[in-house]
Amino acid sequence: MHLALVTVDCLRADHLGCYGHSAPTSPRLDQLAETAWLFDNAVVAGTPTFYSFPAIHASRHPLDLGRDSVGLVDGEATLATALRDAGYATAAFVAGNPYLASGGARPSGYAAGFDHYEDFLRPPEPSSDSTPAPSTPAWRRAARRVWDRLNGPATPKALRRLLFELWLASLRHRTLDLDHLRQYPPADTVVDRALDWLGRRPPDQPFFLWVHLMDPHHPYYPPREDVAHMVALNARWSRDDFGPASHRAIVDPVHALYEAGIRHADAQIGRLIDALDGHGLDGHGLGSGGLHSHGFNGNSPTLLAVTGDHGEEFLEHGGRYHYPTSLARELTHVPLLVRDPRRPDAQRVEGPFSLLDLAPTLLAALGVDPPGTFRGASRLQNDTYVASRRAITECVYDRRSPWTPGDESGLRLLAVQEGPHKLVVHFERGTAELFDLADDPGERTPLEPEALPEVRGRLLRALHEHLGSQHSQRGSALHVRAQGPRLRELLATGALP
Amino acid sequence: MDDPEVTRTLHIPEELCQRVETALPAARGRLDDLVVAVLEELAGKALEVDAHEEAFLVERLEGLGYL
Repeated sequence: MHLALVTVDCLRADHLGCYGHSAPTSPRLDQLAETAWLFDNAVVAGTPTFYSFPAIHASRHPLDLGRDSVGLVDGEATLATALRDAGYATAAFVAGNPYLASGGARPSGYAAGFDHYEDFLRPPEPSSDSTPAPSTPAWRRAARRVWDRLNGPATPKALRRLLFELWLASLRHRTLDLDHLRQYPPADTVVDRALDWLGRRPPDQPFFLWVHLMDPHHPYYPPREDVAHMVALNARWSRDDFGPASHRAIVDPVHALYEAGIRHADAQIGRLIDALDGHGLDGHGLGSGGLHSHGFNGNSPTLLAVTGDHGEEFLEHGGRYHYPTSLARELTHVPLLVRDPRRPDAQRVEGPFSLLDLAPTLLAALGVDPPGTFRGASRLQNDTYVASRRAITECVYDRRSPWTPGDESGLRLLAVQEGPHKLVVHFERGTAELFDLADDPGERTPLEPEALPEVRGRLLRALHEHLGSQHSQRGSALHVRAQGPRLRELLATGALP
Repeated sequence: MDDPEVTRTLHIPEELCQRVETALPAARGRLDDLVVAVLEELAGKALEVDAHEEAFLVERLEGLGYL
């Protein structure tokens, strides 16, 4: 059996029809949900992307190797390495997320185990002595300096607002190129490449295909929308200095752009499913290089999993985007659909399911042993998918970029879900808030501090054990420093535990 | 470290070095790497932050009578 894993950046569970959303964002995923195991409450192990994917691919908590560990370390076992070692052809098509880069100055480590890895990140512009880039005219540089100074903090806020409005008005007279504005390739481009690989892969070999889509990610530039309108909305939404009232005034149209991004990703996931199932290829842009012409056995059973790496905020708790300043449901609750041809009697899986358990569960479904380093466990029991015992989510508070030195030494945000209860510990603020998600799915009002002491104690102990486990690993193995190349060599010998 | 070429000579008892190399054969002749790794860990704020977080949880658990 093959495996196809589709991950969508910023995809909130509550924005899909199959999870109860009223807007038509996800007709193809809703259709998939009719024959797939639907996990009601899939929970990421960290947010944002650089804290989420260590669990998805390597089944470990993002801070297991220390606060300064970003991505995977050399030699770390993953879903891809396990399947490659089991004889699978492996390929990944990752829509330009720099935290998932295959190479360059900051390789993420996720390419390990993949025979083919396309990250769609633009290579640096080649320098050529014969055709030097035209230098910017002096008047333009001077104008830029004046503009930056006028927009700086020394300028009164009202004047900055006026300048901003003037800049927006000037957009009407400019040609705006969607491909230039959009930071990531659209899903159709990524899926095109994936379908091309499927058509060219060895036909008699099982495969593992990973596709990561960025369409719901900001800046929100879904196809077929008015570009100037989108520029204005994105620019207003991104201004930290405009205040909550300004953001609230445009939250609905910005949210609509986000939903349009989901809709586009959904349609392209539909194309991929059609190809995996070996039908519906006509009229989907597959020309002579398409799957049939290369002998793709579209009827081969494929285990298909679709999930997200984290959600997105639209002021529910005051935030925008998906910075690690909150672990509320809009950031931690993602969809998870698993269509398993060997286990077609799909059901809804209730209770929290940690994405830490996803890789071992998928390997179990394929009959492949999980690597010994996986911290999660298979949740496939007697041919039935079940929930995790609990789901822990962690991040370093407000660490917006893993590449800014010093940010990693901040305090953690830590959350644990068990049954309907979720405890969020905010070490920076010194709070530990307990929520009953059955009564308060939006996490609007924490329970009184005296409420449910047994539940609170049990969840606190789970977090205490979690931290203790990470501390003991760090103290004994030194692998917190494993990203240092010389120590990595030592670890590779197996001499260090 | 800003400039890894600027180094300082440390004096570690030879007997201790040998004991470490016996326990960790792959470290033979590469103890510098291990020492650097440990010092980097100690110089960072991670241990201090870890301790703060653990103390917070312990205090809460004690307040509930679990510890």
